[in-house]
Amino acid sequence: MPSSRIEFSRRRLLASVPAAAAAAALPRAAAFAATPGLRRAIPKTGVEVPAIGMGTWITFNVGDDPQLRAQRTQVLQTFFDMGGGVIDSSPMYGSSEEVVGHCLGQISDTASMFSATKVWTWLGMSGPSQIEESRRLWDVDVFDLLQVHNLLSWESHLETLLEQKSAGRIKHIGMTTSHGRRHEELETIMATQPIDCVQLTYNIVDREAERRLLPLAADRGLAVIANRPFRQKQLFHMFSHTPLPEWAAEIGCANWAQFFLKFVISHPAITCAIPATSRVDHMRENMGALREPLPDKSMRERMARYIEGL
Amino acid sequence: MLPFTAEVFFSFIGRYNAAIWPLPVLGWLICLAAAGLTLRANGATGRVIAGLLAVAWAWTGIVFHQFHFSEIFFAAPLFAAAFILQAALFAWIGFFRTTSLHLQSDPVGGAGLGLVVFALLGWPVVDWLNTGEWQSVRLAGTTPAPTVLFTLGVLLLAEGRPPLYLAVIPLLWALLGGVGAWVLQAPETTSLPLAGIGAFGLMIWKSRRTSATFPRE
Repeated sequence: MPSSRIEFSRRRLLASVPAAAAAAALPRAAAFAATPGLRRAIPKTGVEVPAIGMGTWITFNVGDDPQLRAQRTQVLQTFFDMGGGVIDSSPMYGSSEEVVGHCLGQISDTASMFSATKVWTWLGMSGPSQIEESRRLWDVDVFDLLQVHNLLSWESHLETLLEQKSAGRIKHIGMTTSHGRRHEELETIMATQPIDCVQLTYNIVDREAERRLLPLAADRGLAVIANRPFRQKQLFHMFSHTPLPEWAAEIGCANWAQFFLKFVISHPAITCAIPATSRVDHMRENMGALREPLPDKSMRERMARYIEGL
Repeated sequence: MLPFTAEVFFSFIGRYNAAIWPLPVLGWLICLAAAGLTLRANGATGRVIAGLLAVAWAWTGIVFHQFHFSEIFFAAPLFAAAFILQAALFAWIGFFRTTSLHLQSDPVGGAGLGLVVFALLGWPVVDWLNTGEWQSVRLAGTTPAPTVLFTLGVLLLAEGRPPLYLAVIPLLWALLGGVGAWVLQAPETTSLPLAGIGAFGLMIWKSRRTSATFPRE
């Protein structure tokens, strides 16, 4: 996936020693990335993305703190080193977009990045300026994916997104919901509007989307990004005191993060999951799910039954 | 759910204090001066106290919420609007109403004094104990939580029927702040909402108890 960054030579010049030092300190990550990970194609365009991406809600909203920004740069470096691509953010996430832009500027090779952000404003007329501000913060000229956040004023924003896609400033258009909200409205949009992607909540306990939205996405050729794959850490609070079942090793799961993520990305309609983390060790665990084998249908049922039984 | 962690919030407080230094101390001194004026019982000092509170709320609304907190929290502009409205109410009181805000020798006055002292002295100590960093201490006059507590304490010192309308925004913010603190697992999870509900309750009780109208000179 080619980078959509402007001033690419400036990014190279700005690649810092700390970033290189961080990469050097992660030999396991570098070796990991040598083997290609699971990739999925966005049906409408054939563009491929790694099946594990990265969210930035809370985790990258660190403001101006230089220490916290440096630490997030290490998290992002690990993400790229281990084959990551999709980075999802939003103007709603405070300083996350600005921090993402800062961190990207510290990393020498971001060619695999798939930039995904959102438009989030009541007023349709404010959409273009907000999107432009996001371009400035990310330091990109073209977003790979621009989504209407939580369907807020989606009708007016969709017009803007379609115009910008025609002009080549956006590559894909999406709509998002979370927490299982507004699924009926999303279903109507999916069935009737010229979009490329939807983002919704899907994890091993929140499976409502399996009923109608995921089959509809498959029928309509829409990519699906799964948010809250850990239910905002709640799944760890609920289950991580229990040992991982021994048969989890059959699907290459070494920890609960990989167990939860592999369940999500093994659904045939899911393109990518976007767990968020502020820790390098957790990023390593998450990206470890980017490897075969994935659970098949019977294994997925076994995983769901196991969780229900806990 | 808040879009930031406690670590990020207190880091933000530290950077905010550094950005406006030495104004956190000046804001605290303004509140201290207002507290000192409550020891005098006349309408003129009441106007000055209202004016000083107007400055504190205006600063917190415009500089803290709108210019700084909005960097990490999308709801900050709404808080800014509420704080600016509260500042306008105090300014109106200062210009157009005579207000007697002085230490009362009754339980309500004692509660008010207690809140004032806690907001000025206790709150910074709690923050310092929680973060270990004096730079991340929140001071009355320039940050919301201790300013709200200080204001509720001063309002409890009102002579006669307490101005309930001046306590609505502080009460609402105390409740919201308590929810936010609960999410962040910050120390003020219970103290903020309890102070807000308690102070408002005392004001209602005092209002019903007294038959005197709001004094005019």
